Amino acid sequence: MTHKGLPLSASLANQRENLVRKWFDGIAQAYPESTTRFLAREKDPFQNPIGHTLKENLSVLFDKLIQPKETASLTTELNDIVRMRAVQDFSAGQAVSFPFLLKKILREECTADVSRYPEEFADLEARIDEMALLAFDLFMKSRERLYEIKYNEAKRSMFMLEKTRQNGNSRQ
Amino acid sequence: MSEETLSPEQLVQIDYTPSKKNWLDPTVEFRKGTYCYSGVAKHVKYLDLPNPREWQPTDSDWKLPPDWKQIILDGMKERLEKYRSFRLFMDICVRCGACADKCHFYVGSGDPKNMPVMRAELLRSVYRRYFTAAGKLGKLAGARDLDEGVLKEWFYYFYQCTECRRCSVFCPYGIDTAEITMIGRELLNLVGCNINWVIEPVSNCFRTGNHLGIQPHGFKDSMEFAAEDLEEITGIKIEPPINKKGAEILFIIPSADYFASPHYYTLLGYMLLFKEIGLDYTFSAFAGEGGNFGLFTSHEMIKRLNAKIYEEAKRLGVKWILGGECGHMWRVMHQYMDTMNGPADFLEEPVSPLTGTRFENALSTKMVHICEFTADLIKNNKLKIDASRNNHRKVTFHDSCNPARALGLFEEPRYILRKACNYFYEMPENTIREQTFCCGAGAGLGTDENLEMRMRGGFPRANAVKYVHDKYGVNLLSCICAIDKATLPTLMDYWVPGVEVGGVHELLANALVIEGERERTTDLRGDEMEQSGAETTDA
Repeated sequence: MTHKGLPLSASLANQRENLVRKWFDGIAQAYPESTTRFLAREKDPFQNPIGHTLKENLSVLFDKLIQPKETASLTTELNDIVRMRAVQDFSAGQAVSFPFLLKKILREECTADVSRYPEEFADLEARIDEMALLAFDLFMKSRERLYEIKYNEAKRSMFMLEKTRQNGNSRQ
Repeated sequence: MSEETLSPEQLVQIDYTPSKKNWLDPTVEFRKGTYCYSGVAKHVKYLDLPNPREWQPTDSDWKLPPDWKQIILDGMKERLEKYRSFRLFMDICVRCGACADKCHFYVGSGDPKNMPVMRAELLRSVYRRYFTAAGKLGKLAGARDLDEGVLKEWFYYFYQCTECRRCSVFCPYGIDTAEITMIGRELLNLVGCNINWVIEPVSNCFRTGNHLGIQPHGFKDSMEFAAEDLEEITGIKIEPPINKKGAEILFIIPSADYFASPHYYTLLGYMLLFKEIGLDYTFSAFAGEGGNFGLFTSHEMIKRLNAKIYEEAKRLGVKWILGGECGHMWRVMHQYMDTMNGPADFLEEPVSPLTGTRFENALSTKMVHICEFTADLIKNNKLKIDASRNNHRKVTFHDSCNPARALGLFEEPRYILRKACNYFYEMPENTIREQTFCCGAGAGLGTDENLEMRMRGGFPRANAVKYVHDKYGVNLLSCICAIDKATLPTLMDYWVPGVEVGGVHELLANALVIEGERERTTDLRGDEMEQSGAETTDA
C-alpha cells in the first residue's frame, strides 16, 4: 500500500474546494431544479438539513479518501448521507450512486493528475469503489432499520394490552 | 423515482440530468411507504360519508361516482361561498415564495410540490379554471381542467401535509395553508377519497368516544391498572375518579395516554400530581378522547366528534374543564369549540382551587391547558420538587405544532421543565416555539404504511434534535402531544438513536416529592434514578 503525503493527495487537496463543490452539485442535481438551487443556496443547517448533511459529510469523506490510509473509517459520514437517501424518492441504485459521481468528476477535472500518477489514481478509484460497497451495506442497514422501527412502533401502540397480559395474572 | 428493478447495465449508466417537468402535469406515483391506505368501507359507511367501497390509491380505477367532477366543483362553490377565508386564500397569494422552503416535507424530501405555495396551487389551478374569468386562458393563467390525474395528485399531496401551519407563520398575507389542505380533504371526502388512519379513529370515536373503540369497562380497567402501578412505584394509593358527578373539574386526555407508551407515563404523572394537590376532578369514559380526527376530515366532523366534551361537562355538572397533553385537541378547543359547540354558558370561569388564579384566557371555552395549570401551581409554591431525580435525563423540548402555533403555549411547559429538570437544553431558535418543525406525522399521517414519508417530513425536526444530542448529550425529547409521543420515538430511532421521548408531566412527577411516598429509586418508567442526595426545595 501507499503512504500518507503522496503528491497525488497533495495535488487533490489543493483542488479540494472545486472538487467537493462539483461532487455536491452533481448530487444536488438529481433533485428537481428548484430544489437543486435551494440545496446549494440556503446556508442555515437547520433550514436546509439535506444540503447541510451533504456538504458537511462530503468534505470529510473527500479528505479521508485522498489520504491513502487503510484505517480511516468512512462509516459515520457515509451513514449520515445514505440514511437520508434511503428514505427519499430514489431507487436503491440511485441512492448509492453518488460515490461513482466522484470518479467521474476526478477523471474530468484532474486529467493531469490521472496521467502523472496512474497507480496512485487507480488506488484512489479502488477506495472509492470500496466506499460504494460500504454505502450499499449502509443503505441495506437503513432499510432494515425501517422495518425494525415499524415493528417497535406497533408494539408501543399496544403497550397497555401487553402490560395487562404480562401482569394481569399476578394481580388477580 | 419508481419501484422498477434496474438491470446492471442500467445501473452503471447514471443519468446526471434532472428531469424537466411542468408543475401543471399532475402525474404522481404511489410508491410504497409514501402514501396512506384508503378508508375502509365499513367505517366510511358507519359515518354516512359518501361512496364507501374497497379501493386503494395504487388502483388505476378509484371507483369514483359517475358525476364526481360535478360533485367536487359544486363542493368547491359551496365552500367558496361559505368560507370567506377560502376564497381569500385562493385569490390573494402573489407567489412571493416566502413559504416555499418552510415546509418540513419540502425541506426533508426536496419535492417542490411540497412547497406550501405549490400544494395550494394544486387546488388554486382548478379554482382559476372554473371560478375566474382568467381561467379561460388555461395553462397561460395557471389554470387546469379537473381530471382524475388532478384528483389523485390532490390525494397524494393533501395527505402529505400535516396541517402544522409553520408555513403560515412566514406568509406576509397570513394565508393559512392548513386551511387549504382542510378544504382539499373535505372535497376529496365528498367523493369518498379518504385514508383509513383518519376514518377508522373517527368512526370509533363516533361510537365509543375514543380512537381505539375502547368501551367504558376497558377505560375503567386501564385507569385502575395505572393506579396500581403508581402504588407499586410510590406507595401512594390512588382511586382514579371516573364519571364522578359533581366533581369540580372534568379532565380530558388523549386516549393514547391509557393504551400506548410512552404516553402512559404522562398519565401516571397527572394522577400523581392530582393526588398530591387533592384536586376534585373526574375522568370521563365518554369524553375519554381529546384527539379529534374530525379536524382531518371536515368541519362538520370536527363538530360532531367534539360535541361530547360540553355534553359530558353538562351531564357531570362540573365547573370547568382541564385538558391534558394533547396536540391538535388544542387547535379544536381554542379555535373552533366555542363557536361550533358553544356557548359553554353552563360552566364557570376556570379558577385554580389551589392558587385562586383566574384563567381569563379560557373565559369563553372554559377549558385550561394542564401546563398553564401546573406552571401556576409551581409559581405559587404549591409543589415540592426535587429536580435531581431527573438528573439521568438531559432534556430538550419539542414544541408540538398545535399547542405552539394554534394555542400560543410556549413558556409554560418550559417553566415546568426548568423547575423539574436540572439539565434542560433548547434546540436552535429557528426550530422551536412558533417556528417549530413538525414531527412529520400529524393530521392523520402517523401510520406505518406511510413511514418513509414520515421519515422525510420529520428529518428537519430530527436534525435539530441531533444537534443538541451531539452537543449536550440530550437523551430525552419532551413534548406535549400524543401523536408526537407515538411517532417521535420512531423518528428518533431512525435519525438520532439514543434519544427517548417523554411527556412534561412525566418528568414533573418524577421530581414531585409526595407526602407519604416510599423512597424513590426509579422513575415512572422503572429506570434507575441517580442518587445525588440533592436537597429538596420548594419550587
